[in-house]
Amino acid sequence: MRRHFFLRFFDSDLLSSPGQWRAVAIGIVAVLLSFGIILIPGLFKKYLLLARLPTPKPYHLAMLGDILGLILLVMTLTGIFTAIQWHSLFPGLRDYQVLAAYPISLRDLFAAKFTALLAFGLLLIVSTTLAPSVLLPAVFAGDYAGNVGAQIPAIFVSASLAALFMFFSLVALQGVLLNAIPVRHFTRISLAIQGTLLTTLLAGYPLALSLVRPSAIDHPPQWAIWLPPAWYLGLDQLLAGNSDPFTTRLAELAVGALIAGGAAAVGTYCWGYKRHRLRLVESAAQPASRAHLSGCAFAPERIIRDPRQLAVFAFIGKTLARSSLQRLVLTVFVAVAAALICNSFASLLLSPGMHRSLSAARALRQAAVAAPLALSLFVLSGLRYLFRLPVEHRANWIFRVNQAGNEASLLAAVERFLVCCAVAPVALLTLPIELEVLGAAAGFEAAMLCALPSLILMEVFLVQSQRIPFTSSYLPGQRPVIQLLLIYGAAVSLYVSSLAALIESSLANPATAICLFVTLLGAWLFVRGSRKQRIQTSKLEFEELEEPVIFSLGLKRE
Amino acid sequence: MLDIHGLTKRYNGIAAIDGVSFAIRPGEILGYLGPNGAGKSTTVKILTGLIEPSAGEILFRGLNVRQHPVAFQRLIGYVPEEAYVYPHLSGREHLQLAGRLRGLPRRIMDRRAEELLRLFSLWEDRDLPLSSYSKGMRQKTLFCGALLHNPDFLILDEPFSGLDVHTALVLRLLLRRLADEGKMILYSSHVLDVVEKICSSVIILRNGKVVAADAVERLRDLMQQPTLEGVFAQLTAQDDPARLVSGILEAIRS
Repeated sequence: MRRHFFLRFFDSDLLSSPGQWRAVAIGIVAVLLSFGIILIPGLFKKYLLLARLPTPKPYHLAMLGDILGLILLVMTLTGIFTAIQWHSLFPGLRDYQVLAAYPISLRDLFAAKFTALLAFGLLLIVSTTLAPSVLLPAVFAGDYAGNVGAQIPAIFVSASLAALFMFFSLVALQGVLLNAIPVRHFTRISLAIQGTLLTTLLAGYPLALSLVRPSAIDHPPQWAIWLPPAWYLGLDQLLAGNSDPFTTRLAELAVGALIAGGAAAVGTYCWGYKRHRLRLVESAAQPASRAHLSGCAFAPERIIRDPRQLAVFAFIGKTLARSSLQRLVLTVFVAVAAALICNSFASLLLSPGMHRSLSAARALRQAAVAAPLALSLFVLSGLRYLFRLPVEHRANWIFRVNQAGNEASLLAAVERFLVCCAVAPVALLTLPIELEVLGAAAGFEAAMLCALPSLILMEVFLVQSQRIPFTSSYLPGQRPVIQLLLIYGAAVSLYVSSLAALIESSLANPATAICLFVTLLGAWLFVRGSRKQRIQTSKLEFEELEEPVIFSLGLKRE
Repeated sequence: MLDIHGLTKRYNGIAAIDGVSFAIRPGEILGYLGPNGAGKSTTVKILTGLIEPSAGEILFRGLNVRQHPVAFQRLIGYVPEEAYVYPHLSGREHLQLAGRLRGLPRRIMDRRAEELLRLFSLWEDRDLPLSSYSKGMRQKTLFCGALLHNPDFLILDEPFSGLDVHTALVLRLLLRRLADEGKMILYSSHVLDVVEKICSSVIILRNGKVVAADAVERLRDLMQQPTLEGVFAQLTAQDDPARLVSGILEAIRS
């Protein structure tokens, strides 16, 4: 049973086909290990330059800053993974239903789940911390570095314990929620907390990193004693041989917090395991409240007259509003975009002399233009991915029996939904930033110029899939995770950074701006026309097909 | 009238149905029978447009359905074998989805949906998600969705599954009345006593081929069997139930 629960942590419908847990596990571990390796070349150059300085202080401050950055990173990654697994931290309704007929005691079930959870957490933490713990001290090697040999275990232990503290805290948080919140409110509140956690962790990490300044590390403020990453930096310093009173105090707090977190996690497991089953089974039997349904209700009748378009538009809206998985995935994409935007602004606003430098002012203007582009890229990518995930795939017969002759109308609803619920809100949400940074006229101009690439991107996504959202089968794991990260990295660099620079430079010259506007408008109309033509000649897709290369080899997935 | 000639569907060269031909006249309820894997659901899926046939012709009022799928699909109402519905939608929203996809104007759709929900005793639960409905309630919702646009041809695949006795009785009477109004009904089922009560004629499939097609009474006379169940057992050559039971009991005791 322990093995079953452990493997279930990797058996995600989003990442792989059922049973392909090995591919997911190897992919996750590979990505985590790669993080450390990717960071090294940049750091190496930095420390080479710092080693040439006449005093060791900047070198030491940089070391402390990077160790703190690593602790923050592993805490954030652990938090993100735990938040993603939020609904698997305790036994689920399916576990109770499937195992109900077997002679397994509730205590055994919980013990198996908890040990599997702990094993998953430890694997995750060791994968995240192992490579950086070796590579970071290797970069520190030099005259100013001190005892590098002691740094390897110090960084590994402190970063791992920091991650474990984060992991235990989140498990304990859910344990408290499970026991404290009434059954009828639990699902809603739990989902809200999961979304908030993901957004805070994803968007907060770059912001926190921007706040780590050398002056704050040199003379840590008293309130640092309230910051968990600072506790584990203190622990690292103590293990590396620095035993001043402030460091010792921070290290004591680190150990105390870890013990308290672990005890709270175990405690909530022991406290609630009997009540948990009762609550879960009872809440499953309770229908959702009418208020919940009516609260999510859309009123698209006012803007759409064609009943078939209205059917698809309302279906997409209701599915997004009511499916926890869909909301979670969209939250992750929006949080990544928010993180990028926060990071670009924070690093600019906090850099010294920012207001005086001409290039920094231009960078700020570019960041304002990049905000809608980044947000639209991630919101549209998120929706494109979400639309591919089926919701009760076998219920798609209702669309299939009504698709003949209505393809154009049904797909027009998807376009309308994306314009109304993605492109337009992104443009409106980011308009105040553009107006504030660029001024009224240039702000509106930038908003218009940024809306067109969003529309082109939307068309590119739509032309790739002739399907009604949530109705087609899904083949997960078609691309390795690393390849996906590289694609998104390239997209951010090309679509966001390059286009933002182009739009920002065109704002100074009305003729250039008009030329750019006409070019983008032409491109949008061309892509849209091609897609509309394609709709007339092809049928809707309800089954996701294998990659063409697989077909050409004559191979089929089992 | 619906005419089907030589309908064939092959999967990787293996025929799920092979040269199936039959006709349904206005006012007729045709029972479509066969053991598991005989090809009933394949035929139903072809008729609803869910899958394409490998060969054969379907004519509806003289119109080739494969050449005019839109006109045909507007006239059919369909209750699928399993009650697959979107669990996050409420009963009323399911009917709105069905009605809108059929292109019904809002005023007509809302009025009919409300009346059907009341008549099928679903009104109180109209705004609850379908995930909280019982199997019978979902089946009733599917029936409402199939009737919402007043179709000329009803395709029912195991329609009484999960329904209580009273609702099943109401629906039996309803089907009879709909047939009296000239509608065509294809009734695919395993429940032979219900088929015997409501169907005017039956088709029996075995291994994808039609082995019998006639009125229920004539089949009983021809096969010299007192019930449709006897006719069915003789035509489909099922294993002896008593021998199977003995085998199962031996297996669990060994």
